[in-house]
Amino acid sequence: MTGTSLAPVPTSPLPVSPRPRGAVGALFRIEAVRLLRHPAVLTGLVLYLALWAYEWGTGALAHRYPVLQDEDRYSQVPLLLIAAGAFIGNNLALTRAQRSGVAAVTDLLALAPWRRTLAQLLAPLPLAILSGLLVGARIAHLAAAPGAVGQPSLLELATGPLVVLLAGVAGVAVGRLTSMVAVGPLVILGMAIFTLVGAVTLSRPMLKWWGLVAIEDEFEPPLPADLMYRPVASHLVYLAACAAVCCAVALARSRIDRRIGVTAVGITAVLAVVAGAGQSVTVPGDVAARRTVAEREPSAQQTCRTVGTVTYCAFRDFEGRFDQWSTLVGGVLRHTPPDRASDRYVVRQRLLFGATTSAVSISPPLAAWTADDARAGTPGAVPVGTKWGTDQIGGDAMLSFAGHFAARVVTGEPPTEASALSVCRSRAVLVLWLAATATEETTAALRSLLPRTGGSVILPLVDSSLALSIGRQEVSVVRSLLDRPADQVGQQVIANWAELTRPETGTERAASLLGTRVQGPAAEGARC
Amino acid sequence: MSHPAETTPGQLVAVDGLTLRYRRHTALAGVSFTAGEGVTGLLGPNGAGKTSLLRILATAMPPDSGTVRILDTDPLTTAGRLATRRRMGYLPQQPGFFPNFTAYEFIDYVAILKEITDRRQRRDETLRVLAAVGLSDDRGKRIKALSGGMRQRVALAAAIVGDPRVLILDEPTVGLDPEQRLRFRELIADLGEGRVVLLSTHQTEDVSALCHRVIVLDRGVVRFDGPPARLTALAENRVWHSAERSPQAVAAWRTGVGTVRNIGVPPAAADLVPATLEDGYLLLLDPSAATEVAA
Repeated sequence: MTGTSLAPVPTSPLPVSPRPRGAVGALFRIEAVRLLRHPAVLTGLVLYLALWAYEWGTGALAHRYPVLQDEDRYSQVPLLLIAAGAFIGNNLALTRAQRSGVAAVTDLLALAPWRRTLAQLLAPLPLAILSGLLVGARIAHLAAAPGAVGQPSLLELATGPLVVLLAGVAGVAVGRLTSMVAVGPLVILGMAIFTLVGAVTLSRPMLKWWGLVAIEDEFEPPLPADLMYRPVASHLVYLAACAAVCCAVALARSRIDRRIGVTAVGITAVLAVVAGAGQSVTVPGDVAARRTVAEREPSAQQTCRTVGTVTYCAFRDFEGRFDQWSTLVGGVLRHTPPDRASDRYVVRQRLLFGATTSAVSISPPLAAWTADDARAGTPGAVPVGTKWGTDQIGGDAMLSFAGHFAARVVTGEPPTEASALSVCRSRAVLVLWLAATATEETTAALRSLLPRTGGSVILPLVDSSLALSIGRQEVSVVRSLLDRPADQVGQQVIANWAELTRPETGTERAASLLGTRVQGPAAEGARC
Repeated sequence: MSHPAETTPGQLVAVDGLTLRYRRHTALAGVSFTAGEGVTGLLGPNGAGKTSLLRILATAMPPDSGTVRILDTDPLTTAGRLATRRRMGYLPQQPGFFPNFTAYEFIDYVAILKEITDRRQRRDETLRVLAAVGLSDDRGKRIKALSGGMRQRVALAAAIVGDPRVLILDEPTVGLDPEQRLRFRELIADLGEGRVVLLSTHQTEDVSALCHRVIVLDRGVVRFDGPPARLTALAENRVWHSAERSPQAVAAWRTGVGTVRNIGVPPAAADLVPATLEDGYLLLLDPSAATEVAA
């Protein structure tokens, strides 16, 4: 106390009017602010934002054409970083008094332990709200991206913030069970493993919804919202029940009446199990029926718009794709003769359930599609899938659609096994060049695809087994053509259209007509 | 069998027949006393039961038997315990801190746990107690950056938040340098005005300087209860200086000036010197002298 003079102790101005409820509120405010400033939470927030920036910088986050009913659930995984911070921060806050020896004093103060626990249980609320704002900002960012389609689900968006809240209260529950610092990270590790194992163990789908978030659908093609099935409402109830269990455990360990505590833990635990079991992983019958109709007879669920001579039909959530399809189709038709460009075409969106990027093995129901097109008065429609974007998957899908539309123009036939086989030699060169030069994005997509395919190109029809197969020789011609101005090549294409589109015209002849040469031998086993 | 403790006017704390055992060790063996406003010192050797007694009074644990009344409530009942806690401040022997909190934040936190909920009132109270312990200028520093003495003041500030009528201080001056101890004494003396302060200490100087009354505990039994002067008086005419340790002394030690200070039955022609509280305390606790003192 050197150099410090002590003031006389004045009388406290305090009235003697205990207000434990107000104290809970005051303690909640202090703990909430401290949690928001906790290094673990700040680290989680920084990592979340850094990941967002990284995804944006690398293109992993859709710059263009996001599907909002998919993007809503993709927001959940990054939020686990903040949830981990909430768990650690709140756990350390609760055990602070024990770890620092302050409990010898604070345990003897007026505010009952259960009220302190209650304040700590409420402390993650502002962080959960902040997480909700971040999720909202992310989805708004995506919604503002060019070509955004669909509607995000509020329930999916709410899942991440609820997980943050759950993690915060779980930190309190664990803290009430043990004040050992090492337990927190171990619990986080366990939850992370459980969530990830549940998410990736597709052979045991029962597990996937028992974790914090279910993320296995990321590689599936986007679906219209009414055809999706994610038991997200049940999952929210399950998460809320888990949070209730944590609250009950934390309060039961806070010197409340033992019977009340045990009863509360028992009831909430039963609720959590029931809610967990209620997350049915089987697609309900009505959704499955709607999917079948949407796959085989989509016209009744679609709206159409005609732009010029082309009619586009899409599922309701994907009507925003009309302009993008129109731009691409316009790009293909730009380098075709006027009589072909003025023909009437139809583009119809198709779904193939079960098709994934890793297993292109689904045969398209061409007969059903043909019949449906006939009923709808749109025969010969060119299918387009729901994938679309500037990333690898979306780019491949764009290029495939451009190829199949170009094949429709070149062959004059709708996509069938036979028409696909007829796209070879000169036709293959022409189709691929028309597809690649349709837009800058399809050009980039082809350039991105080639290093992955060893020189040949396969353009599947909506992820099905029906595909245009273009050999190395034809691809090499297209590559050399892409080095020249498209309009210059386009004039040669239009001038030599008749010969270029004849099935018997060879690749070397096509190259010659377009002012270039074939490089390398034809691939062994190439069709035609 | 003990009678229920009752407080009479002026006696704000009453303890009757408190016993406490830790397995085979008897910490308290029928302790009874009353205390009113002012500073009451609790003296005793290690293991005498001082801390156990204070922890019972602070509602940290119940006794095995006996009764306690503090400010007309029974802290051994649930309702009485809460009422007592609302009017009591406690500084334990080894107070902990939240090292990453500033002094202000820590006191503010304690104030909330004392149910001071109005934000402005709490701020005023926090500033008041920090000023009282001389930490106004350091209130923004993190506790981990404060010296041991300053931390002890933070702990005292926490104890006096809410202006408690009863203040229990368990060895508050341990580890403080002489100047800090002096300042602490001033502060505790101030706090003793209008409040019951129970001060446990090993420092007989603290008792001499602060307490209007002293209770000596030894092996769970009250050995002395009275004014410090009376404890000092026990050693009157029983302290003498000599060149060597006197065989008649029950306690003796060489002083800084080279002579030996003896306590006990002085030999004839001994060089008697004035007794201190410490002399009386040592004489009281020496088993061989105890009978004589009692006589």
